[in-house]
Amino acid sequence: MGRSKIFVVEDDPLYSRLIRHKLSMDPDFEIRVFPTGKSFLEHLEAKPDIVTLDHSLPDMTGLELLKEIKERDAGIQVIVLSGQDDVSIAIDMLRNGAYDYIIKDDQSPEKLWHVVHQANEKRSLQQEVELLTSEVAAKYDFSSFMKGSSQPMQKVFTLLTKSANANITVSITGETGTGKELAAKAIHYNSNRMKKPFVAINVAAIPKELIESELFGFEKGAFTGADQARSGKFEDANQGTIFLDEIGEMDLNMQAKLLRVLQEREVCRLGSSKMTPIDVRLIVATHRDLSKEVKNGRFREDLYYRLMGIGIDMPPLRDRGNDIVLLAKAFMEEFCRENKIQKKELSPACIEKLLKYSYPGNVRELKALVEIGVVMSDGKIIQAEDIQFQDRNQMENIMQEDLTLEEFNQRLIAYYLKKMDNNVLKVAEKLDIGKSTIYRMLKEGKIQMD
Amino acid sequence: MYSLNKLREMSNGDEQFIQSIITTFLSNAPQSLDHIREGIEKTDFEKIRFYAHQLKSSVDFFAVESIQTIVRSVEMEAKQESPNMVNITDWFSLIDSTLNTVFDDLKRITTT
Repeated sequence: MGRSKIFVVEDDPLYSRLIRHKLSMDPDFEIRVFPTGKSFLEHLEAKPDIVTLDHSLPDMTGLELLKEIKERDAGIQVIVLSGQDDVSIAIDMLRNGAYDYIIKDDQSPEKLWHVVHQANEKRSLQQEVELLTSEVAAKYDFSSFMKGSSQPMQKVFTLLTKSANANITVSITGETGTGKELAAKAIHYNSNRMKKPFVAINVAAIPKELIESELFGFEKGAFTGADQARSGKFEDANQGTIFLDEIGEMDLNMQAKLLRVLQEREVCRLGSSKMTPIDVRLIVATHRDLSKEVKNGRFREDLYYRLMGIGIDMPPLRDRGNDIVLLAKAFMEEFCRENKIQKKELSPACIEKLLKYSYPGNVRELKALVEIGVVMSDGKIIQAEDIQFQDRNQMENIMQEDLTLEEFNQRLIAYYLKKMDNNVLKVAEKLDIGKSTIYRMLKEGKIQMD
Repeated sequence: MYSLNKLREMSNGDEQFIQSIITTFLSNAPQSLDHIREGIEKTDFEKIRFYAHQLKSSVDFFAVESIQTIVRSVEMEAKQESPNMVNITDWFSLIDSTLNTVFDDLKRITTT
């Protein structure tokens, strides 16, 4: 079990200092202080184990905040501190799930110390029970993460199984939207690390000046604004799996630091000289060809070889044949279920249309298309016209469809008319055809202006 | 008039911590007094109640015994349906003068 995260919600600066000082005496506690209910709620996703809550905050009452916490995560232990020696308030807070209620006086930091330790013990026991329960329920089943019966996906499933069984670095490649993070999760939750954290971080989404503190953490005072120590993602993922998405976007300086961590298997927080041993399974992903990046000097060769491990290439959806229908039906059913919509079917023409499309956005795009199709369809059947591809892909669609030359010409002219605001002269010039050809097609109803 | 015993007990001999708590007190308690004063001027009882409540824990911690009950009285009175402003003003005057003496003494200690 790692350090327990204790969030202190207290607007009184003096009292918050006292509490922080007292609780910081236990090195197993990581303390964060918030002066308002709102600032605390913005960080609730950081999953505190225990919250100490001042009943009288400037922006909301302790009861409001307690209810909000319990609604989001009933497992968080909340200890209420109040200057109000009012039994009815205390009963109200305890009824709504508070672990304890402490009256503020000169003894309260000491009382809080004991209550926080009791609550922490209870929380640890709860977590242990949750882990054991999930262990019993866990199934060795990749289909709960990914669907597909095509040849390329069978190959992926084989590699996922091998990867899950071995404690080895895995590098996942593939176009955007092919499910690289899902593959990483499938490996983690089918490995013997499944009960420990899975921590995902998108390297491309973090400014390069913040990535080091994000990955390795920092000590208080390490830089301007570091008013409290924070663990990094590697520490958070200890004994579990860390997934570094878009690793190809990491700059060379950071690559050197990552390499050292992987070699030494220990991290050092910014502003500290203390090395913390870590035991993490690393999974990386990129849409780039890292060997080319190495050749071009944008990726360290030594890091490249260390990361290679088992390579899994996620196939683009256009190469997965009937998986498209399988996935479309699964997304459709899931969307109908979640939105309490009557179950729908895909018409044969709709299936044909879906199968002919090239899906530059891969599975993610198919999911969006199907969900829009469900909403657009009137009856029980999703028709071909309910599936609307994005304009940017319109030309690509034309190329993918089985059209006669005449149909192709009509579609091409219609595409450019729409693109050029129905300016027949411009379209004729662009396609090097006579204006009369376009007018004739319009007259015959073979093409239409929007 | 006041005592740093509780603070020393909690600090485990950490002088830096003691200094930081005194500095926080010296910076925040006068602000709370200003807010209460403003609340009295504008007959804003909620403001009076809120800052008297905040001041209460500091006064307890520094064991300023002579005004511990008075600060509580201000908070309680401000919570009433028809608070007595004359009482609040008189009590506040006592709190203000006592705490200013405490501030002066603490400033003297921290600068020597």
